[in-house]
Amino acid sequence: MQWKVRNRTALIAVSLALIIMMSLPAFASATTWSKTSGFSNSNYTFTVYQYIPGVGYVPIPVVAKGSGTFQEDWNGTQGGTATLNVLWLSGMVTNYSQISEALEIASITPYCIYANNFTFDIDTPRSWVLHSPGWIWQEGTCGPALSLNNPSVKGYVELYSPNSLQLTITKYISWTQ
Amino acid sequence: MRRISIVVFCLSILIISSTTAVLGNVKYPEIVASVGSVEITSEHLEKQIEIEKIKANTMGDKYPHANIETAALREIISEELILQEAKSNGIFVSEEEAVRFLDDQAKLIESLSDEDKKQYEQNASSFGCSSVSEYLKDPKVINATQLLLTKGKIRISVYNNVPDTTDEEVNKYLDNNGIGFKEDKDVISAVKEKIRHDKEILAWENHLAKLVNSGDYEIRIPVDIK
Repeated sequence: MQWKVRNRTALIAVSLALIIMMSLPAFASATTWSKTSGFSNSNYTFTVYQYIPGVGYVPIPVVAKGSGTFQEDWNGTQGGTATLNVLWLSGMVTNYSQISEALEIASITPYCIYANNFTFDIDTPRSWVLHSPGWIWQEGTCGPALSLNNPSVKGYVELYSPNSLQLTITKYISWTQ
Repeated sequence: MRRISIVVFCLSILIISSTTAVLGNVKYPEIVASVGSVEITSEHLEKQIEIEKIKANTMGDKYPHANIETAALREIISEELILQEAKSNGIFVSEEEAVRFLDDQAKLIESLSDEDKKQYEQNASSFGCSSVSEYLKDPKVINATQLLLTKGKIRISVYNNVPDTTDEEVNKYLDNNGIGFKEDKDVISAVKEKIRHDKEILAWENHLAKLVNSGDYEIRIPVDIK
């Protein structure tokens, strides 16, 4: 009888432990996921001014085509605590060869702004770039601005041209977590 | 950004239409400098000064020059030196080439939103043209485009002389910026392009500095552009 009682107690304890162990992963296991967004062939409208003696400055239109890609690699619990492991950013001028003799593009800057105004940025010439994992950003939630009821992230690509009066033109895309 | 664009546009129209721009109370002699046999007029300098003012206002603290008048004269003289360099190297842009470029721009402008088109339509209107396509066929615009593309050809030739990026440079960049993923081809390719682009920009700055430091020109006002 005593064995039966002990055995039943042990059975209950094991069952409880199993239930707890089975339910734990739902709260504690880490997962990884990515969020990607971007835009392609967006128009960047510049005007370059060329002086002609006797005429003055003549405005010449130059339309650059720009693309941007943004990828967040997350590690943690969706809806809980997560880490932004790597933020990939790219900016590219897709018609560079067509406009390169008319428009000097000194820099292309893709960057993201989260709702709390944390900014990740790096200059890049027409290709992929990334931030080092050393820039890991600990998030309170898996959506950067979820707690602010504004889960938006804006990805920007900025072109800078020193030979245009509209020196800088920025395009952006918004996405949600 | 939209408001800045409108302000820039309005200011630029003022530059184009103004024939009596003056920097404060400064009165320049009719000829302020000469580059080879080309004379630089006070009118040209005054208009370039207005352009530099717009750039300085737009860029704020990031404007790279300490003195607007010096920056304006340096810009004009270095541009003329580039054009003379192109001439002596047999580099030129034909009328047909300029027209092709403008035709490409006309197609791109046609695909823009009405709002983006507006700035170009206003430019055309300020030159007395009823449409952008008419404006882009104007001989003055074609002539200006020939000069612009000629300068661009010199700049691209300087870019093309930049040596290829070495693995050592890539590794140094990765280490200095704490970037991992050293085996990732996309990362290596991106870093190579970034290093090359930085070197191109530097090479062009050095080329301009060399032209200004050793070029054949004379300045007739008390401004030192070196």
